[in-house]
Amino acid sequence: MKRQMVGQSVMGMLILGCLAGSAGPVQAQEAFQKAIRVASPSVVSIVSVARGLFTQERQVLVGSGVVLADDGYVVTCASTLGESPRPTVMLGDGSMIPARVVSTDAKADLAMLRVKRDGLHPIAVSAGKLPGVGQWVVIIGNPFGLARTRTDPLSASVGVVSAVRPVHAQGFGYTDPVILTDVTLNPGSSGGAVVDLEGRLLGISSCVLTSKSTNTELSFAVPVSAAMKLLEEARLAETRKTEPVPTPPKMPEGGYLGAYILDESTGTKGGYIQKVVPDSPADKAGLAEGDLVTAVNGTRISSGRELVQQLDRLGVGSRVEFTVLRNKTELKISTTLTAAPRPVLK
Amino acid sequence: MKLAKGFLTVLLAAKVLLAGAIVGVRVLAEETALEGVFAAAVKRAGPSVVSITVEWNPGKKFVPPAPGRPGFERGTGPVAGVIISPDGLIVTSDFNVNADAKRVMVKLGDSREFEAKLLGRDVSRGLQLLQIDAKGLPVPPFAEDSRIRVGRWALVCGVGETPADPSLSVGIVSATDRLQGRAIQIDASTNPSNYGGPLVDIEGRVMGIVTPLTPAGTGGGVMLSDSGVGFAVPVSDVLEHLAKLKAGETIRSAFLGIRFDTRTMSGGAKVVEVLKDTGAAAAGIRPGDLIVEFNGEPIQTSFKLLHAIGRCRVDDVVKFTVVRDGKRIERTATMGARPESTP
Repeated sequence: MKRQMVGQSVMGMLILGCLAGSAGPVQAQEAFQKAIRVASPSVVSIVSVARGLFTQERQVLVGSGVVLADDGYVVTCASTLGESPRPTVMLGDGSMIPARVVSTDAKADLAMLRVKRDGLHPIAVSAGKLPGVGQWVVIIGNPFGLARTRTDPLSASVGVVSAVRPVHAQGFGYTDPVILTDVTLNPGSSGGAVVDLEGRLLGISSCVLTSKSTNTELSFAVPVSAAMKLLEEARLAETRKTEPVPTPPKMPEGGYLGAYILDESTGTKGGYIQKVVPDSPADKAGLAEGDLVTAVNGTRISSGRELVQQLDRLGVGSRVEFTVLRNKTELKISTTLTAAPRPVLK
Repeated sequence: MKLAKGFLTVLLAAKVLLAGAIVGVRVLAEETALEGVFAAAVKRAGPSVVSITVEWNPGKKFVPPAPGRPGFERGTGPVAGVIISPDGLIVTSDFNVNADAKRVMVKLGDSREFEAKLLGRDVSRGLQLLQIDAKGLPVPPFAEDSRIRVGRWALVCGVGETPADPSLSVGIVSATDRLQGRAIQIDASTNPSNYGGPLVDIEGRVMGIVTPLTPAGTGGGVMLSDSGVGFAVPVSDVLEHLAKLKAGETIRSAFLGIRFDTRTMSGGAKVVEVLKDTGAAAAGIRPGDLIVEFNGEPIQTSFKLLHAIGRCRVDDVVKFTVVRDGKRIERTATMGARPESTP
């Protein structure tokens, strides 16, 4: 009897020994500090300016975001952006960079932003399965926009995973399980990082939603897998965008001479001017009906069609010199082509 | 679950049989398990937590609505306070106790009860100093500022069933130097029942006094109660201004009267505008000046200077080093009050 009891108390000591190793308060505190130190360089503040729906009043929306790739991809909560097309990302070093919304996942309420900045600190991502209930989480974000000035650090909170299940709430269409925590999220926290004690990203803090079934406020995060999927989509969208799209070369507007040319392909040593439009460049330069144009800017031509082809290559403002035969005398006539007069309806 | 059951059996069996072994197990449990350490920290700080009841002057019980918050009825307590000197000085939140009170009673952990005298109030931090006629009171150990770091445990004590048995809420330090450098931000629950109570670290040292502050850094941030965002004024800051509070002064947040260029991120704080009839104008600071030092502390950005000024109070005398036309100039300014003075 006695021996058995001693054995049990030894076992009890062993259990306590294990507790000391894993859940000691000082170790926990050090783990929180480590997670914050590791993850916070990758968490940013996001400021967007939106117009009120009815009043057109200027609203400044503050949210949080997480750097996912060093070439400028930042994920955030889509609804924190309002309708702002150009949110600003505030980095930890105080720099403010205008961002572009590359793609959004309306169901998961995520938006992928891109900033023109290399060498950002991407967050380490927790790969694999979803976190378990009871697991410690550290949440980093900017609740109430408390990091007011550009050099203020963001806020950190700790808590545990309360549940991993789908949520049904107004305006939230993501049907896969999300990570519910006991950390109270506030306006401004949305888009922030939910990390494990190694500082690895588990999810993105979502907007504060009210549950349909219990009428309680839910604090939850969209799993990191949704954010990574969006990152892939965004990268794809960006590659498509940067590929050179074959745009038709812009046709320069053809220059206007103001002379009718006899279109004869053979039998002449140049192009005959059939008629001159009054007040046209041709008229002002002194071209006349019956003139035979034998060269354009020194290039000899042998027919009316060639003359038309030469003139077609010249745009508005081109200086052109004609070599003209008139009454068996060779003349040089110069003019500048203008824009064609618009037809006037009378 | 099975494990826990086994563990209980162990304790029970040990209790019956081996008195020696049980002591060993208990000590180990208190030293290692989270709950045990929280309890030990509360035990260490607990004797300095007092319970305060308030009787309000006629007509002062109801606080009318103000911009940003609805009107509310003031509580009569018990609310929390912290002993900060053995000769009867107690600091609490001015949300719970202030000059509108007719009678303030303080109950100590040993059940003695005293009527308190109201001394000074720090409006800029939401604190009220009280004095009771008692000697040899237990002053808690205070944490140095360097020990207050993001991620450390943040324990908040409030009033419990009896003052000897304070309530506890647990979180971590979310940020330091918050609200223009005035407060420690925590994620433990704070609400009227623990405003005025101590913010305690894992070793039971008092880091700060919990008070309701708004995101703008003024008093009366009660709408943030239990929101996961709470504030405490660093205890070093309270001690630094204790003499003024003891003299019964009302301390207000300072206003310098300078607008800065917030675009530059190095080199100093560039002055854009100096408002008339302010401390800055009296000190001869001009637009275009570059402030590079404040009270001997080098200033790289306007944000750092805003924090340094945010910590100041009215009538503080501060020293600037300014670069003007390439020359370093020393300037001394006396801090004035904010024009749109908060109550």
